[in-house]
Amino acid sequence: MKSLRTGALLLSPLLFVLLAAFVVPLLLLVPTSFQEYRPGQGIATDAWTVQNYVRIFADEFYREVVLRTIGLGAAVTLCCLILGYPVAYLIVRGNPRWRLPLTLLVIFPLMLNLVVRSFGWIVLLTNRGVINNLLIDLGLIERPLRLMFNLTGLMIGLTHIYLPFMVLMLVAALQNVPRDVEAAASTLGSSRLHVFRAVTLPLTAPGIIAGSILVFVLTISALVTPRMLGGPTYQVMATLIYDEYMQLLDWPSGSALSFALAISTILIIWISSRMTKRWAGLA
Amino acid sequence: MNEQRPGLAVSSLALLVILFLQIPVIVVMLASFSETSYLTIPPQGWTLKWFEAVLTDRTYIDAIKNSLILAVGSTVISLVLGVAASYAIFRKMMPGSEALTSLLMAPLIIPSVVIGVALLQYFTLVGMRGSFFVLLIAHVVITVPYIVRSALASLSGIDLAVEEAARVLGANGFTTFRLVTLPLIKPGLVAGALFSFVTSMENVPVTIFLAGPRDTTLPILIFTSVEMGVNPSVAAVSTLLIIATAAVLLAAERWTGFHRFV
Amino acid sequence: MSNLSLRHLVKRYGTVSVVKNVSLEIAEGEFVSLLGPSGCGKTTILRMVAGLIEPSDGTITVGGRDITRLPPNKRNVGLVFQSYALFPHMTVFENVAFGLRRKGESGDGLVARVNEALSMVRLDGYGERYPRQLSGGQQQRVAMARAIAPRPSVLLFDEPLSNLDAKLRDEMQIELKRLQRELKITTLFVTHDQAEALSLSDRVCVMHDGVIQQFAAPEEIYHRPATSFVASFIGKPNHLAGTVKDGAVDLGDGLVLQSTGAAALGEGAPVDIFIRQEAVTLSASASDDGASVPGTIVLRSFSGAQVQYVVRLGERFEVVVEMASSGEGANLAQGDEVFLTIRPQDIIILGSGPGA
Repeated sequence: MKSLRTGALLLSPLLFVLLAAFVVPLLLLVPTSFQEYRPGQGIATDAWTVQNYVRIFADEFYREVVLRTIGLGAAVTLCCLILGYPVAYLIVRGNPRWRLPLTLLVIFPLMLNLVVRSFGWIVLLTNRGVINNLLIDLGLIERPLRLMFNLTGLMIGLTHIYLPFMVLMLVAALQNVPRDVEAAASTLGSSRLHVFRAVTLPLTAPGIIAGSILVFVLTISALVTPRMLGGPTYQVMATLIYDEYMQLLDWPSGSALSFALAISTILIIWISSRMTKRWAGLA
Repeated sequence: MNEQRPGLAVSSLALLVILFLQIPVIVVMLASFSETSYLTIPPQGWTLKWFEAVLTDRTYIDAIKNSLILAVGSTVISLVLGVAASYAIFRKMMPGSEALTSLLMAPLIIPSVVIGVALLQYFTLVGMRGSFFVLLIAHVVITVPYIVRSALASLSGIDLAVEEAARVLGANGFTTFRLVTLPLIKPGLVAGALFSFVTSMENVPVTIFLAGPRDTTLPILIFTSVEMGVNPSVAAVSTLLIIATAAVLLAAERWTGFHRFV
Repeated sequence: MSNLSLRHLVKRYGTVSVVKNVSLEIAEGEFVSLLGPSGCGKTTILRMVAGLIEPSDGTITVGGRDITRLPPNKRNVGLVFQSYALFPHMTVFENVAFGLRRKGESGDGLVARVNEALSMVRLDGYGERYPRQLSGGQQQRVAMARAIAPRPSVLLFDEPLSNLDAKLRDEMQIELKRLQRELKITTLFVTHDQAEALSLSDRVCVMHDGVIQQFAAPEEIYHRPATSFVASFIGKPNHLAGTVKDGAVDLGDGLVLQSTGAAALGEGAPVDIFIRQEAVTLSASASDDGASVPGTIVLRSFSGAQVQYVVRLGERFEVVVEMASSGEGANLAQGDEVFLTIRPQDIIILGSGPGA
């Protein structure tokens, strides 16, 4: 058939690129993750081991990094949700004249180079940074607060980075809530707070879930911001992978951790999309 | 009936959050004009010397050049390959269009750092690590999902009959695509290309594993230089990026109503 | 300009046939409508002629040339879409010029022919506008100008008037007919609107379930429907059933209608009869020749030029009768006992049961 030939012609260049520079490289991580790394000698190719995977859960250091990554993901997601909802609400339900400027102010940080945004937080949070200088000048503190290389810095930075995604998801969800339904609830005697709790919030639940999944997955995969604000000591999974490849040259451990991370994100997205589909079917 | 508008408390909170989103931007810009090499608010003394330092520094110039070549190159390749593939998928020219779409979008789901290490290992194995071509292909892999996403979305918004009309009026398949389909999906593609450009331009997790010593990009330069501490010339180059981003965003908004595509 | 001929056309999707062995000969310059309910296969036929759907079987020829397997761009047909399908990013001029440019037309010749086409649809001076700046009726005209500009050998219309409001639709019908007569292009017009099909066409092809029911002039379709589907689809006829008895139709309950065609169907044959609402006359007394039947008015409704009555006949039937509101039978009331007179030749009679 003619269209099949055209289709093959149109698709094959990209499929070839993705196969050669995405699928095969990822699959090649599999054997590496079952090989043994011997310090000083390199990767042993003669023996297979599951030790690299076991270590992720058994080793105290690895376990701490994994739990920290997950905890950070959850906390950043929650912060984005709490801060993002009012913004989305103002954009959708506020004065229509402010809608475009406010939307652009949300998109702008998203389009801005990630490294620049993270750098901005370093300028603010570092020991001799804007915030510490200001607080010292005001006489509120004597010695700089430790705002970087710890949970505080990562929370602030990551929340800032991923907040726009959450806002945009919530804007899309709020736009789908018919105003008549809210009006109906208030004519039936609901207070504004009750209208929000009983009508708006449940109707935007799919958007809340989609936004939360997105922010969570992005947060646990993030490398740049955790590295820039957390430094080489306050590790998450992505920065640990980076170090294992670049500094320690322990590729087997790094690839096992990579797999754990990739499988987690795929599973989370897959399960959530199945759940959303089922809910859509119920509605 | 009294329209339900957000109350004062909600509005103020929302505006504060939007301000929070701009704070690093403002701080970086102020810092870049500051006389002192450490950063204070308000800046002590105004100067353009950090900008001069950046624009006369070969390291920065080369990094900016590399970043632009990489971003433009990968976006153009992604556009050509991505639009062709999306069109074939949209027209259901091949069976399994859903699986194909998932494959094309997969680089968006796999964490970048994982793609980075996978490519590092693979290209080391085949002995091509450090080549600029490899870096370019890697950027195509991470940018093409944005093109595919916007192309598929734009294509689904076209009235099929419009293409049929062109065919009946004597246009062959390619002419129809060139004169009718392409102009109609152009706004979406501009938005997708912008995302692709931005993604390539800011990428660290893939680039850092693959870039040869002469192929350092701007984000890699900033990323590695902050490990040495805060440097005002980083603020200056960041300010340049901020201004460029704002200009491009406003231009894209004027041309295509960009915010609709985000 | 050429004749269009469809021979044994079949379209199957899997095991489902939507067009079943359709053959149709359309003369040069003739205006033919494909009429039928949605899903009858009429649009599929049109799209096969345009080359947008590939037939499973059969041939399509235009002026003797077999075009069955040609791609749409090699067929030289004009198609007006239901949604108009104007190119939204092109001006009216560029829309109309599109087909001409594909034929290599350019320069002054192109401008002249675009303007000629725009003038034919009375849109002179609209060339620089964009489709979104035009009303629905104007967009419709642009779609027509675009289709006729390259002088196609066959013109195809896919329910082109269904998106217009009633008043505009009537105007466009007249316009369309005038245009087609002027250009004398062989035309295939798909519609589900019977009034449209009857008033526009030289011949109407009524379709049902992928099969041609009747292909004839509008008057014949209306007055002498070939199948009970055609009879019940065209107009709003009353449907009654009975048996042939002594050359007339016995409806039971002592009701007997004289019908010209009854004798030919054979004594005792079960028949379907269709009586048009306007073919019945109501009067207070029985007619002299015994051709009228008694009934009772159960409902009267006034709608301006007409008065409609629902009349009960015996135990089993109710018929709707339409009378001019200025005439004699306009002032009957609910509950009145009346007599219905129907000329024997106005009763459409068709054999019922298997094989009919």
